[in-house]
Amino acid sequence: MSDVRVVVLGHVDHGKSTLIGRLLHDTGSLPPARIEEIVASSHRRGLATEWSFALDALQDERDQAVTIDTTRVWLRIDGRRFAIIDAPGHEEFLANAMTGASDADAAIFVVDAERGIEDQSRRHAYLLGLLSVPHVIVAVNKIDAVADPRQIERVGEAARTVLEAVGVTATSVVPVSARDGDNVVSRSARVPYAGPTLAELLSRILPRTQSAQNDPLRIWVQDVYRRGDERIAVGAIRSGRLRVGETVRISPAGKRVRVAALRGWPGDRDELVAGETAGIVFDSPVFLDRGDLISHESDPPLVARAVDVRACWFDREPPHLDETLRLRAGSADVAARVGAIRRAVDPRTLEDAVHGTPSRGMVYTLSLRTSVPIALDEGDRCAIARRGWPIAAAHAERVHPQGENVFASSHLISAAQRADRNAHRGLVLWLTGLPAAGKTTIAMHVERELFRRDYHVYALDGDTLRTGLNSDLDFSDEGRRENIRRVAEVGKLLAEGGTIALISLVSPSAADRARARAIVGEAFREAYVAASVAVCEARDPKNLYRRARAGEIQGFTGVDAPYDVPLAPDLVLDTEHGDIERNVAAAVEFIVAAVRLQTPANVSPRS
Amino acid sequence: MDGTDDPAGHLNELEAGAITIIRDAYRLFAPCCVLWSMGKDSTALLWLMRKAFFGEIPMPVVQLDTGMELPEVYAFRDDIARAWGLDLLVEQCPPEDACDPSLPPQTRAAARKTEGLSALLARDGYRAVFVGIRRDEQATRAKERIVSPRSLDGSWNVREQPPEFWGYTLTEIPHGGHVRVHPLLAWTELDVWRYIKRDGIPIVPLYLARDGLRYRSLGEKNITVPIASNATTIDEIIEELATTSEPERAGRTMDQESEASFERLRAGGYM
Repeated sequence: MSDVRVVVLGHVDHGKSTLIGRLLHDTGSLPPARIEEIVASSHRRGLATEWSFALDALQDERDQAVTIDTTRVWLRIDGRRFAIIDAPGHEEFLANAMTGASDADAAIFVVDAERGIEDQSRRHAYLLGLLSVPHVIVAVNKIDAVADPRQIERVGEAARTVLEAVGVTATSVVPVSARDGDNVVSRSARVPYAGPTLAELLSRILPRTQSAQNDPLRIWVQDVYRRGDERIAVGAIRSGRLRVGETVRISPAGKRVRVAALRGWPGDRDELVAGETAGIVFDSPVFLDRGDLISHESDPPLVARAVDVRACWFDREPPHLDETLRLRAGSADVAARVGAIRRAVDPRTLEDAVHGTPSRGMVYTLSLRTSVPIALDEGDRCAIARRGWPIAAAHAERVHPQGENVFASSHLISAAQRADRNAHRGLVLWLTGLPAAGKTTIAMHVERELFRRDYHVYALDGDTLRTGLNSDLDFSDEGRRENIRRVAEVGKLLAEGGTIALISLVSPSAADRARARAIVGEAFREAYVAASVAVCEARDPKNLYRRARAGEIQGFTGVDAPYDVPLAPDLVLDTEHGDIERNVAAAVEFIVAAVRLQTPANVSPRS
Repeated sequence: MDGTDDPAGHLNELEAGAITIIRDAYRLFAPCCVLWSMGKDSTALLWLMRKAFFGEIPMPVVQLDTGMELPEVYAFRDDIARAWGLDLLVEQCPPEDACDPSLPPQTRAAARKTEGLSALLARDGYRAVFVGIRRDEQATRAKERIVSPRSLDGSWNVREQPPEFWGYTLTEIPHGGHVRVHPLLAWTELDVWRYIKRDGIPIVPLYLARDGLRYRSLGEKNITVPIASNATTIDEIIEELATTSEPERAGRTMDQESEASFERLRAGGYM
């Protein structure tokens, strides 16, 4: 059986660390040397034996008598092993409390018998609800300091009520004195209480069972390894089971593929279940990467770009409308814009927060729009991150599948009618090439020339789009991919509307260009604007190569990021050896031929 | 062995957890290296890496060498490095007088490894360092994160650590710094021994008792002493641990020097 993980929560100074220290001591888990050390350390600070020193290991923690960060200790009760997690009760360290509590099987909710429920009691009760910890024991502490047993009872009831309000049922309430040891391991006659001691209550708890094997299959892909000719997708099985020969679905792309082998080391496997790690080889080449979710065909996850989350916030900086955060679900980690802040609840009152309440500890309901589709299930445990730091623990409350409430409208005018009116068809000419190869220069000259000849033409330049439509995207791989996807979608609309769209974009990845071609369809033509790195670097009109060489720009195509030269472009414009006039003329000639109407009855535009 | 424990299910869970951490960090933070002291924990870590990467560890395995290891330890290093095909990198640590003179003497001897590690990072630019520490070893290690950010000088800011929950950890490296990755953080000493037994992972023979003495924690010869023990097999070690109340690092002399010496050492970048 695994360790039973028990987190101890409660308001600052209600005696959490002291209670754990007492548990350690009274269960005989502290070696004599450690006890001596604690006694000595207490005396150095002029204190009676301070059992919390068994946990508060940091100098500042001992000097200020406050737990700053979560910690854990191990003890045995009836031969079973418990990992006891101490969580700081101070408001400032809520994130540390969450860090300690997130994987607990059970919780001890400590409340001071004198002071009763306080702010952090309520916040921690909320955390317990968020985490759905299965067993919660209320420990009414410091009964040595309270004369009236009815006061102890009242505080116990108040704790139950606070927990009930966030959907947590306390399994029991035990009055204890951490200082003196009453009802911790040994029974006490100090108060009229006939129930089990804290140690007895703990000994009855079982670790969370792994029932996830019968749930639908979910594997978040962590990475794909190459081993010889083989590609192995690796990831942990969150739920369900997987056998060799089964067909699975890869979301969000929605691809179907058969499992050829389950690799392991030292040996392969025929079947894997929840809790194990997988190395999957497919029987046909399939593109997948970190963040993809593998399921069975029969039980796929939802795929969405709109997700409502309920997020317990740990950061000083609140969420802002229109801010781009990261939404993480399993191994998926995508840019997500805050489209709406629907609610901000103060867990101390469970009511809408008054304006100006600090964000730390607040619970926000946010509508997020992701930059790319994400696969997940409603109820999934997610994280929200800023600059790589998880800053909020969130549940996916509502996932709005792609296409829900979205119906592509049918036009009453056909593409042929538009082409007839314009006397030419729409087209996307996709100019790809190294930075400073001359893509935009050619595009602008071609635009002027076609305009002069009465063609409907519009040049779209990658940099310009980055200032508007794509201003929310960064230069990460994902940002570039999304940039290209959007530009391709815009190009497609222009072409459908009958316009010749000249798109100049470095677009270094052949795979991304293939995706653009797939989006636009048959109106897509690829033009490779060719010039060597040396020539482009010598031109360097925007000083970008120089800055990249100086290390000021990272991932710059041609310097420290690769450019996939098109293998079969529809048109090559060589700017290294050919001059601008010749390239413009070649492009114009190519376009005019491509957009010409086939039917002889139609009149060509004037030229 | 105590009959209420079920090492099989528990060890599977720990193993899967560690492999998941290793694969995530390798994907997010390459280039990486892994520290190997030839002790039982870091040897178990290498074993887990072989599982994570299907037999071959795709990063340098670094020994921070002070020249003070016991001869059995060096012999073990060379045998395993050959048998497992490790990309072994032996990094010579600077002498003791290069370390913070205000540290107590034994702690200062241990600080040589910190200096060796900073020199390695400065030279080779690793963005992540895998380390086989565990929470139950020592109270300040219990405060660690699985993915722990370090500043440029390698120091650990224990007061401001990133939240970790539900398997979500830090995913970005602090500017100019690196991350320490701790796949064994949730393991206990007993877990490691049971895992070594289950998978038949080789260990330095010094862990087994000879003439009533064995090393429980394997440090350099100038700062580690053996403990009294009759455990001559791994099974006997497991039995001994189930009943002992002595802390694991009792044989590490520096831990006893002053209340905060280990915390100071760690804040300065020690493992």
